[in-house]
Amino acid sequence: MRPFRTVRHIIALSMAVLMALATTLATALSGPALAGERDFAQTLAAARGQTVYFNAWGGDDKINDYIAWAGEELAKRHGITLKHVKLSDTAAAVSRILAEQAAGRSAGGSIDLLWVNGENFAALKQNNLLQDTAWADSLPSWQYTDAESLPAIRLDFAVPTDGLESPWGRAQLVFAHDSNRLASPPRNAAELATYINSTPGRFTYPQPPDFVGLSFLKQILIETAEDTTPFYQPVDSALFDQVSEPLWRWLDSVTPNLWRGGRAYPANYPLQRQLLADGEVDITIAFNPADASSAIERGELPDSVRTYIHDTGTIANVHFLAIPFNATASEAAQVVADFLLSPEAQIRKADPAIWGDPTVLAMHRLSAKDLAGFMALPQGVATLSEADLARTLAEPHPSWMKAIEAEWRRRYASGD
Amino acid sequence: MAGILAVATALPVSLGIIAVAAPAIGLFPALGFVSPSLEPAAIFLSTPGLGPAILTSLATGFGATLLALLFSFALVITFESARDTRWLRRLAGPLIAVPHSAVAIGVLFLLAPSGWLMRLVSPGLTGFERPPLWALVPDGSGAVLCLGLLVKEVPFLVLVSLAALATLPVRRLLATGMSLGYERSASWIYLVLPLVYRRIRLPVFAVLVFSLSVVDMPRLLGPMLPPPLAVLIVQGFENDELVARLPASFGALVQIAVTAVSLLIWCAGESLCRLAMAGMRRRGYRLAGLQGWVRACAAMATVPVAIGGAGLIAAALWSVAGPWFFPAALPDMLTFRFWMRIDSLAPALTASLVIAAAASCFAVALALLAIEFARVRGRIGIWQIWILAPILLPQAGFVPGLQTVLTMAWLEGTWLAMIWMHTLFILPYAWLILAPAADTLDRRHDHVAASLGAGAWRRYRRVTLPMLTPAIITTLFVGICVSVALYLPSLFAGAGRITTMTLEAVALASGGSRAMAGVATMLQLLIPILGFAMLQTLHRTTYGRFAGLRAGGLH
Repeated sequence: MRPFRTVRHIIALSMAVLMALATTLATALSGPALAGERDFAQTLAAARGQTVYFNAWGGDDKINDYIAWAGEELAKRHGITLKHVKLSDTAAAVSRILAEQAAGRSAGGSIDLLWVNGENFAALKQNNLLQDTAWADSLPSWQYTDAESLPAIRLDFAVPTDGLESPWGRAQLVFAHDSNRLASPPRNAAELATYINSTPGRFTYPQPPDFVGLSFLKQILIETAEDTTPFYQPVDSALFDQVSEPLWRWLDSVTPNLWRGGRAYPANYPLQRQLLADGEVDITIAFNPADASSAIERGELPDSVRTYIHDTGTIANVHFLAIPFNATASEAAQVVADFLLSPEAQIRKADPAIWGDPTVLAMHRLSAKDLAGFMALPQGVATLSEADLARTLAEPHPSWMKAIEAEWRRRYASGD
Repeated sequence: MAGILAVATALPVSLGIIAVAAPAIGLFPALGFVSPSLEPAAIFLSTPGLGPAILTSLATGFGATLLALLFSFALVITFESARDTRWLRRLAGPLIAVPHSAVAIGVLFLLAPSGWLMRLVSPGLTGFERPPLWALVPDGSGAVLCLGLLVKEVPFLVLVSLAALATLPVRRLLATGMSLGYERSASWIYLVLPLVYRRIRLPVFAVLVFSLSVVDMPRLLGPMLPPPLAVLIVQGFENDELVARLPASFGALVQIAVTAVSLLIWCAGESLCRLAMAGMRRRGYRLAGLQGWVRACAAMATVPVAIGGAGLIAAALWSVAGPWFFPAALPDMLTFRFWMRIDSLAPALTASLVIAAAASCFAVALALLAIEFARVRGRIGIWQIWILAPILLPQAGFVPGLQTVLTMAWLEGTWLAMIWMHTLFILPYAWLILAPAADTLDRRHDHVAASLGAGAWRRYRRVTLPMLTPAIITTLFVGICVSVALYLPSLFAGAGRITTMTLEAVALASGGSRAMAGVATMLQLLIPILGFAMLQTLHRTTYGRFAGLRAGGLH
């Protein structure tokens, strides 16, 4: 169905390489800091008065409130109006950008900034739906990051970001259980299967294509596989069945004993969190280590809820902000991305009382004051320590997400 | 005039269909698909669970429509016989004002295994310390979806039936029937209801089409695996895999086909009923003892309404609930914390108000224009089809195509697009209310005015319009209700830039924030309630003293 893709892919790739070369050369010749600062001053000037339509998943109040705060600050400091377009699924924004490209709308697009990662980023990049120059690593706040200690800020699900998206936050798959109902939760895929089959109806996962649901499937995929190396390359369709077979065997064995017998799933993780609060299920899944703590704080979960991860470690990734190729306010969008990456905004975002999203900044690059700011953050009652979270698994290549989703749909979406 | 009507109705609808038909047969130049192909069709037809999805759509569509018709007729007979339909109108009016998504949220909050109903009886009556494993919502059968639809469709059909009754010599018909020795309800069924049905055929078709293709309610109430056909299609359009739009477009055509076939089946059913009725009439079946059945149906009709009402109370409760865990019957404490955050919903509330008001006014203006057009031309012919097309076509069938058209015209996400889209969907209702009202106007008033020397415009303004005012007020109210409830068209035309209360409420309810969803639901109700209060006041103060002008009004 898509022979054109290969050609476009090659063109995009070679352009990206050329561009990367050109920017490296340019920065090497002109002195990085100086050029960067001068450029950004221009960006700031152009950004004043612009309105940024920030398309970001809007299913979580605390995130929405945080974005509203950023909007107020940006209005005050840079004269930028930030409009949060609350998406229920980021894919909808991707398809809108596509529709605009299809309609030949190469400027004046409806999306200025998009909260994105993984498969959506890969789709955007592959179809040349992003800005055609690298901008993210020339933001002033980029200096506080360290791609060596956190390679995922340059590698989004094994796809190079090429400076086309700016890191915003970090995420790791975590499980939460109500310690009053379930004292010692299962610690790996095998134990989880045993648990599900011995307590029917009390476990579920968000329905794919929800990203937490798919991430859970990837977690099981990695845990049950003998060899994980194929997951970090594009899916080889000839080998897919064989490589993913343990996952489907695992799912086949537990599905009849899932919540609602596997004939319905919560649409997303906040809904599953609600099921845990209601006592319908025993375990919930989140992609934010502080999710349970902040839900307890808001009175949405009982305070007996605790977080845990599997002994093998869990999938971790970084989420980003990207600017579409036809953004109306690309300068202001960069300023927004820079502000959201600043230590000030990142400290606030990491506060479990506000959002509790882990930072992408490198502690050793921060000023003493900002470091103190991070250190002073309260640790939520249900949040694991950084040491406990240190066991991480890298995200598979985005093509795995697609392949798993399609296969899951084929096997389970008809509800039988 | 024809030009205005064409641009307002025929053009967008036909472009919308073309814009889904082209990708459906493999034409999507922007993606590099330039030659027709059967592949989108093949891909869509191999969608897992497609068969059950279509069956679910058919079951909920026909189930909801048949029951709504049955219930509304039972209610009308019962209350007309009590010679007091005011009470019925008072109840049905506000009920049609409740958006579908608000009903769905309420039903969800009430009937879920951990819902309010279960909390009220647990653990006392049930012994459940935690929610049971079985569940009404989300259900796989579509029964709850059907129930949710009934909450909306019964009051709607009651109101249109009452409007139709107002144009019929009901007393005389009943007297005739009874003088021939038939019971009252038998007279209703033999003599009055066929006439009523003939007048409300189009609204019934609209109910059938809507029930076949509703998207927001099943998103909350199920079935989920597989969802009804329309949800399946919208999922395709929201898929980030860009080529997924091609099979989804084919799905949109399938939805149109399913709807068309359903309408044909319905019409065949009508013929059968007509034949059966004729036979029964000829043979003089007395239909004795029917009264009890009618009463029973009317009583049953109150069940969905009661569930809808209780659901809204549950939503109201959640909007002020502090921590509230199963099985507590009531929240631990009440808090206005969530209402304090109303400012985050303010843009959506404002947008909904503005769009509802503007679109209703435009729709009334266009409908009046169309009516004059029809009067001058003698007949309206093909235009009526175009005016009614938006409610006779499944939304999922052409709205995604309209989005493509709007994007190409750079209108996507603009107020113009949003208001126009809403006008498109209000206009059919405006036409259905205003055209009959204009038909029954006594043209002799006009002739008298003309003989007194009044010009055409003056006659229209001073004679025709005042006589139509009660109907116009009703139309404005219905328009506001339709606008507030529109989900799919708002989703696609708003492009995320303009969000409405309904979009916010569905997003919040499907995002797990019950408290904020409760607040959003209450705000959703606020708009039609405001509209109702304002229009009713207007009606009372302006025309309340003219008893004869009340027909077709809110009261």
